[in-house]
Amino acid sequence: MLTYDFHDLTRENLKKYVDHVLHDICSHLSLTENCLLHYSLQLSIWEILVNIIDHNPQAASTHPTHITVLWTDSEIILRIVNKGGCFDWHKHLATGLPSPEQVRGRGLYIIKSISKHFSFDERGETAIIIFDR
Amino acid sequence: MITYSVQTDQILFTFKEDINFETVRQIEIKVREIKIPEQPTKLVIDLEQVRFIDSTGVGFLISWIHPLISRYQIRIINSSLPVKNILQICKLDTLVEIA
Repeated sequence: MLTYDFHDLTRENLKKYVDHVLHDICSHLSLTENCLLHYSLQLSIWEILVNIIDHNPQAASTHPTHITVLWTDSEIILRIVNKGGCFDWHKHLATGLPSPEQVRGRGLYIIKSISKHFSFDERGETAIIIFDR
Repeated sequence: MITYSVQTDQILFTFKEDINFETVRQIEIKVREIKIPEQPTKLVIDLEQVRFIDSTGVGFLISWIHPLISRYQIRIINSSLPVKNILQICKLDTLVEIA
């Protein structure tokens, strides 16, 4: 299991944090950078952290973001928590893909499409994403 | 960041870095500065050097490309398999050809 506590999550340090997690995942699970699973893991963590920064920048900077990575022989489980405020994930996931005129709103749809399981807790503070290995 | 050239039979945009939440603001400024000529009508977007695109990047591409599809035959080339997968999930392949 890998665990991380990221404080003061911002646009400027987002890449550093995501790269750090992916580097450790690759080391422990022997993933190569050019495989689809690596991209899926990277993108999912990235999109959730972007979601936190974008929808609640104050929560991103004042509340720590906890990331846990667990794995079995068949699955990789990501758990990302930020308790800085509620996120209405039901609404965002239920609407599907936005129209071409809309720049935003595809992140959660992408995660749902590339993962085996994707859900939030009722308050929208904890995201669980599961991948097949 | 982006190179742009008008050739005999096509207009070529080459993106030289990742297109994501971190980079998209600057990329969009650069792209919007370019006045695309009416001819030729083939527009090629080269994504060979884009190793990582996120939903923000896809959103930018779609919002930029969508108004152009009535005037240009647009083709995305050299995207890696993971990048192409994301573009297809977001149905960009229903707007333009993704080679």
